[in-house]
Amino acid sequence: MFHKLLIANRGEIAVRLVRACQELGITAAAVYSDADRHALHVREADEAYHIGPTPPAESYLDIARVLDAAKRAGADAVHPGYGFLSENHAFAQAVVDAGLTFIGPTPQQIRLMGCKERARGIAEQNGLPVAKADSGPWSSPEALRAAGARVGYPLLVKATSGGGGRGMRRVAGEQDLSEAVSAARSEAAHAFGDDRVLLERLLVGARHVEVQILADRFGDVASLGCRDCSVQRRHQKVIEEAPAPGLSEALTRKLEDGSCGLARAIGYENAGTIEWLVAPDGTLAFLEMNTRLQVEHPVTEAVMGVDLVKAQLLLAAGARLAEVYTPTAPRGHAIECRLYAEDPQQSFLPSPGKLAVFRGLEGSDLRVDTGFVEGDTLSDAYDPLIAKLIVFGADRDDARTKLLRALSRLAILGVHTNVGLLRRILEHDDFIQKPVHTTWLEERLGFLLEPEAAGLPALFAAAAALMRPQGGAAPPPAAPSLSPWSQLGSWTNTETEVK
Amino acid sequence: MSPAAIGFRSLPGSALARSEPAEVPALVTAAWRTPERPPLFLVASELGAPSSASFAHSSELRIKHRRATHSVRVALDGAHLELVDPQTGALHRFEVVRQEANQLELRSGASHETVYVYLDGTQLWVAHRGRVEVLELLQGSTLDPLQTTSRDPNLLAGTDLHAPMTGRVNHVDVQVGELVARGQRLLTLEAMKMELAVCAELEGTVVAVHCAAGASVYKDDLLVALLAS
Repeated sequence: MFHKLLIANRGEIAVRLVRACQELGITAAAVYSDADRHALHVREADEAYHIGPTPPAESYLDIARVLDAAKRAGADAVHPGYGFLSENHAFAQAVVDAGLTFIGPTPQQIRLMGCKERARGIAEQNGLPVAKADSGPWSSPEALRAAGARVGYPLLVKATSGGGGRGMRRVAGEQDLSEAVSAARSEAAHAFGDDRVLLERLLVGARHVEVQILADRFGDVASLGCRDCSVQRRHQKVIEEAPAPGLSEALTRKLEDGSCGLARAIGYENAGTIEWLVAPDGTLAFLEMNTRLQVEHPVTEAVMGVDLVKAQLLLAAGARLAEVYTPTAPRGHAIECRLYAEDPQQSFLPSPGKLAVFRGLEGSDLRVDTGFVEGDTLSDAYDPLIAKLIVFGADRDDARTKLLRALSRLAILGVHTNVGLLRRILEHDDFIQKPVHTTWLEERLGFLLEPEAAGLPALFAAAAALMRPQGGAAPPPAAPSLSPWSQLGSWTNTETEVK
Repeated sequence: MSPAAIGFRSLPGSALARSEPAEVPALVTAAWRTPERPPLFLVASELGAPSSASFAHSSELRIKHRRATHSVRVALDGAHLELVDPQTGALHRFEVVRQEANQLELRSGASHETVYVYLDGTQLWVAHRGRVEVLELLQGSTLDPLQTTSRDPNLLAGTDLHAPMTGRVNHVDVQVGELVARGQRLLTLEAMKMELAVCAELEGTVVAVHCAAGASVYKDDLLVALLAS
């Protein structure tokens, strides 16, 4: 096993990785930028190394600086978390070249699956259903239009090297195609340094279902059930759950078998996720493979009784799959919601700032993964995730109601959050009755964001309790007789001494 | 029973029993704890509903919520406060059971309400039952905000006590609402095996305690807010 792990990330995932290390007896070495000097992941880690200024490009995304920290720390392994360098094959290669273990698949596998177009091709070769697509390049506007017509509308413009919903555009008809392609191109170039995009047929009314897999270096692959992540806004997941509700056993088997088959075909190692679209008629389409730990991994952990980070570490250290995971059926139901610092009432503008109040994080069977404590500042340089709330229940409704209660106890002040929206989603009949599809949230946003009646008396009472009479802070009066205390008559504010 | 349905009786010792408004003391801060003390502003009202006379000596709180401006009549008395909901006209009575930095425990009839607050300038963030509202405290109130969260020492005319050093709080001697004398020890700090007493610089009322025994504090952290008397 490793003796020291460099955690090349920040925020809640870095804290979560620190905990896994400490439980396994591995020294956890954190890295931090200027803005994160006092961050929770730094405080929780056994050691912490400064890697540069606040902008991610000069710190968390800088391969040389992260590697330098690993050397300074004397780490023998590096975990990339999610985001930042987690799907950067050059980083994984640099880690390997430095003689360290990269916690994840091989650089070649990251590279293979990182290119959406190639991943699609491999999936198709291995018999996985894929949506109709065209990857260009298109030599002229006419060629682009022809490609759009071949794929069919509605379609999605996707960044070839994309992920996390960036560089993605939904196109309803030909009239919007060229604008969407150029917008996706510039976003992709900015986010991934690669402006290539592809067109892909959109499955209307489809759900986003993904399969968690674990694989060892000896060719063994296991699937750990399905997650449903259909509650999304702009391709950013908001609520995730496991197991995916309402999927037939046959469909579940198809998804899991297809996912394992793809992993086997490329000799995949470590943890990974295969994402699918599931249309209402049961049509499946392979979306992409994420060659890393997912944000929503805790819901799988909750229902499968497995610690995915520990499994990753053990597998990377050479353990056999059978040693880290015993196949079981999912037990109960888990739901995760992502708390973002954004203002839903102001077009979801990011809301960085001081977490002046961050309390009430309690509830039945609740797990809170966060990188912050009250008083911390949410930097505008990083993503707006404040915390993930994960609840476990006997069944879906048990988990849902527990999560609702937990949200109703929560108090986050100082930054705007999406907590109200999360509550409205969890209370919505559509969400309660049946699995929603990936555009449901955006279609219902108008309703979900309608202002709710506020309990004004309690709010006013709180305001009044923070008040003092005007002039109350003035310096003590010269003459004692002017003091309000002397005018109280028989009334005093202590229990003793009634005149 | 809803607070509005309660018949209010004039209580012995009530300040309102006096005829001259001039003799009514300036309203005291609501941060006080005054257990089992007859409230100052419980006023006779045979009809059980508040009349304007009930609030002859109340204050006015001007608040903007969403796009509406509300003028709220408030009577503050120690740990008790009464207010008229400007939308419904109903009278609500609350007891401030406990008040810490950013957290209020209110009781209204049989219901207990935990309310979290954060005052950022004139913006008051309030979380109540999982919902967050941002209120704007407007000019024209006859009440001023008690700054409970700012570290700006000028806001309370030098009555806030800040940590003279980084260390650990050993013991807090005072509670919110307590009247303290000048020089009285409020709490003790410990750093590098040295104990330091933090004392009141003037006579006044403790309106907020921002630390607890065992807490680590940094130099200049706000420890106790005093309202000079």
